[in-house]
Amino acid sequence: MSGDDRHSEEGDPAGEPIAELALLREQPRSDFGRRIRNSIQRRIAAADCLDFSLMALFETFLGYLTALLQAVDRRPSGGGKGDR
Amino acid sequence: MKSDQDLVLDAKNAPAGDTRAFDQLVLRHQERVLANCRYLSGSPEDAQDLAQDVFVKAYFALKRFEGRSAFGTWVQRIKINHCLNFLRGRKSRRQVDIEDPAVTGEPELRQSPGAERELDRADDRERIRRILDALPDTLRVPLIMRDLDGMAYQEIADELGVGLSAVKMRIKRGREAYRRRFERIEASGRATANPE
Repeated sequence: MSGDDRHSEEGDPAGEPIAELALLREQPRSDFGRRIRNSIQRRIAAADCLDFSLMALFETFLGYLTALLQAVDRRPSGGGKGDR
Repeated sequence: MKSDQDLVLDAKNAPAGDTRAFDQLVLRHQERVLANCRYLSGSPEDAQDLAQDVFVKAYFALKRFEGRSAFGTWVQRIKINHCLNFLRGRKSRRQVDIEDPAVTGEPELRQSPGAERELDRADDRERIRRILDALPDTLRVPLIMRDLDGMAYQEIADELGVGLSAVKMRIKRGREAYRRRFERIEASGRATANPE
């Protein structure tokens, strides 16, 4: 997709390319770069928040599960073989 | 001055949120990406936002960029997909088929002499801009992909989901329409300059 490719198709079946189109450039707004940076920072912050929320949810679930297992383990049983 | 490849490496190795190396890449490519978004979308109002989205997407996809192609080529792929999705999603704009008589008949060429004179007074860039904006999506998009982006015909056909011969036909018609308009504007300008 470079300039080489542009000329690689000898005898262009669609006619001669419009040369001035390859040179087209547009000036960005003065705050273009800042807006990109802000957008990136916002997305990183949102991803961090999501990570933190998922981690907190997982930790809470793990805490409940551990407590539940401990409670089951401590519960007196009917005196079977495994109750030593 | 660092090459794009070095800057990509720096951007990849930078801690999350440190965009200094990426900022340099944006500075180098922003004018071209913006021009692409401007003419692919045909919407000057949306072009800045589209180009901004393209760079944000590129930033977050940078980890997956393996450097097999140039950074500019890789960004171009993101940009093409993003702009085509934008065009597909734009409900309000009338979709024109290549076989539509409105396209083949070139109705936009039938401008009033006054309008053509007005076009002629504008500078070349503005003239190109207006000619491209007046082209229907079906002609303008493949023309831009070919003559601005330098994409191969097969790539354009794959991206647009149309046949190879249809792409060639659209580009041919697009170029012809472009040149006709340009010549008419030139002729109109000469007539204005030499009224006798």
